[in-house]
Amino acid sequence: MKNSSSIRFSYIDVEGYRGRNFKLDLDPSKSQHVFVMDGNTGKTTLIELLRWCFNYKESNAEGNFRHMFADPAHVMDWDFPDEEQECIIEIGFSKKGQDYVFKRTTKGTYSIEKDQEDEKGTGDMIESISDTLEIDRGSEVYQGDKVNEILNELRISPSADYFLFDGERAREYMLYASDKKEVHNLVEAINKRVTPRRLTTYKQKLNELQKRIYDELGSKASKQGQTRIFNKINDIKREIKKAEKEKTDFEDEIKIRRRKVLEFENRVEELDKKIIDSKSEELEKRHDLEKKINTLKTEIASKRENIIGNLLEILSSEKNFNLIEDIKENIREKGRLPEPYREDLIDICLNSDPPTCEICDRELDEESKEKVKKLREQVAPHDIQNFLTAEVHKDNKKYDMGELNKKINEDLEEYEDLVGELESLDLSEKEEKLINERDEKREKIREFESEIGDYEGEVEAIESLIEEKKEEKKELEKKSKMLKQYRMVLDEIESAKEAIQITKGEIKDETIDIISDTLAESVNYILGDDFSARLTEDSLLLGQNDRFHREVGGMSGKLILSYCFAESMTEVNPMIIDTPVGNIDDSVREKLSEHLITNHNQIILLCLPTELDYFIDPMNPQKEYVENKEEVTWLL
Amino acid sequence: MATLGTIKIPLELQSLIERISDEKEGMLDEYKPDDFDSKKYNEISFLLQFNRLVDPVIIAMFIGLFKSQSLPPEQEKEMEIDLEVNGEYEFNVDIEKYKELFNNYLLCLWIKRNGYPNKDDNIYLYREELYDFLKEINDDDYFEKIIIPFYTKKSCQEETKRSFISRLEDSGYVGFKKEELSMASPEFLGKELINLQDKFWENVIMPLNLE
Repeated sequence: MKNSSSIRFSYIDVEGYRGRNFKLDLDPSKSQHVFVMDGNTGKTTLIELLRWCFNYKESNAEGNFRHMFADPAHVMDWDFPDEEQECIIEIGFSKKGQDYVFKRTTKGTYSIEKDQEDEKGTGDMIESISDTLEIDRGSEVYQGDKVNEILNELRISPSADYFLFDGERAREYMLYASDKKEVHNLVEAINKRVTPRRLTTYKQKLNELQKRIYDELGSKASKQGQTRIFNKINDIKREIKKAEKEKTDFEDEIKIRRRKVLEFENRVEELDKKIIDSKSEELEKRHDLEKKINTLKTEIASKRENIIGNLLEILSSEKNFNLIEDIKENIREKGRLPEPYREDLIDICLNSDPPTCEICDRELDEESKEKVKKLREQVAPHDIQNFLTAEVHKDNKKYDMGELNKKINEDLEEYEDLVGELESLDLSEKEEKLINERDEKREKIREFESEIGDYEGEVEAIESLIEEKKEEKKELEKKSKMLKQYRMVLDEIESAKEAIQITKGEIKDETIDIISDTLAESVNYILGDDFSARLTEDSLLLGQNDRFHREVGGMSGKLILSYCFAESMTEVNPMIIDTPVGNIDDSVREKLSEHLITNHNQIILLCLPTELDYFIDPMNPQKEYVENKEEVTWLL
Repeated sequence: MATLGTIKIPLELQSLIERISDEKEGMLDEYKPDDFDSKKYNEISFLLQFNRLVDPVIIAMFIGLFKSQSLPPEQEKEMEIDLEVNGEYEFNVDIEKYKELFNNYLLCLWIKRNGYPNKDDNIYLYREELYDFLKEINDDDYFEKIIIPFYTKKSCQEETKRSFISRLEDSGYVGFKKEELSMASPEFLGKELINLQDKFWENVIMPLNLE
């Protein structure tokens, strides 16, 4: 365990946080450092500051500092309320030959008023918190949340709850191990520790890849999905086939009618020729009359359309609307309607002291005042005034209905004359028959052409439907092909995820076994041969004479179990411990001391002066320490 | 902008509007005479010349005014008006231009009934009544709920012949025989509208300009 990490702290400098100012200088050549500090001199603050710096990234640090059981607790110095403060903590450490300097600067003030107002608040009014991490004296410098990312990679942040150890933490672990209701905290902590990060990252990447594929496909590429698409393609194929059959049927109908039209046109041509060949004077006349009648019909219809289309316009264009405007002017003049702007003038007259006419400057007597007041009530509202002054909208068109009627009547008379003339024409039976047949054929041609037009419209609609369906089919086929390809990839992803899950389980079991063995060995060494410990996925138990139970061991034994648990869970090797042997029996202090020396490449202890007996001797055989209860001191 | 929503109208007018609506949608054959023959009748309905379905409503409104030369009922008589009409139609169109002209005619009619203001009379009372009347007819809601139903109903009340609106519906297809034209031909209806308008001017507007 001693060589599992090469991290070593070189100094910790605190300036201003909670009014503490001290620097712990650590000799890189020494493995153990003991600082003797009186009560209430900043031991707990230091441990909590370190946890705060390592556990919370810059953007999430505000309001997350805790101290003893106060959560949140203030970070600014409350001895200097309402003053601008700048608090700095700087931590120097090295790993694998590289030097790192972490620095967190917090700017702001402490407000007594705010502290009293807000029950849940701390009184801190933080202006800014900024983190920097400098590597190898400035060869690389990181700022902001990136700093915490690097602390994570160095495994400092995930271990902050273990290698920074104090009575509060010890109490927590004792509680987890002894209280069934709290055991879930232990399970969460163990799971976090033993789950291989890299495998979790791989699994996340596979999940992302899977999601990207789902997004791309717009579905989960299930077998049912594939079947649905297959069925849909078949439905579309059937629809296309049906539409093509309908199209052919319509085209056949069109062909039949085209043949008929051609046949009838030939016949009409033949009949025309016969009629023309007969050169009958009556026939020529009939042609001429028919033409004139049709022209007249079109003219009459056009004139009537014109009348209906203009009925509404007649209402606003036939009259001299200036007369109405004169009437309105007359009303305004004769009625002397007070205009809206008069209201202001009336107000000025009534509100002056004494009330005086604004126009003639004469003082108003009581009777005049009453009149003026009444006048105010009679001011014409804006919309009424606007209506009375507005011009009447008119269209400058003229419709001579008399002339139009006269023309229509003349046309109708002519029409009746022409029809009479046409009916009086005496045609021979043979000619009559020819003409009737020709007219019938012409009528039929018109009918067929109209039907052809309708059918062509249908064909066009069907063609566009077929195109649409083909396009839809093409899209579905493309999707189906993609589904097949991606299905293979997705199956591979599922297998890889399954393998990761199995491996994670195996690694977890193995890691728990290793931690448990280390824990047992440590407990056994410190507490003696009768004692052991066991860590499982959901329990942390102390054992005495092979009896493992949450009630085994007194306060001292359980404290040792907590120590050993924290040691076995940390992924970095140094231990920084606040009040290390406060409640530990004198009999095991020496063993604990030996154990710590053996297992950690760097031990930093923040001790009360009363803790030195039986504990420091193994660390410092030369006994060359200096004790100074006023100042923070480190012992060689 | 005066926009018409759903308004109450006489059934005759509703029937005409629905017919124009159908014809505009291409359902022409339904309204052609039973003996329709392109040699005897016009082939395309003249009613398709109406730009908007509300146009016959406006025409009916003016005809009602010209024929009746009545002032509109006061607002509290709304219920009575509701009972007199029996159909309704939704338009949602702007009729501002015609509403304004119509209200100018109504004002002239009001002056004809009440006379011009006279300084010897109680001019305060005259002004109040004038404001009340103008406020009422310029209120869009009153125009939609009272004026249109009232005057369109008047346009359909005929004692001796078929109403203008009823004949207008039949003017869609008329034949080309002079004696068949009777009173439903477009030219007859056009002339009738102009005559009615002229009578209103002669009776109401011209005398006011002589005073």
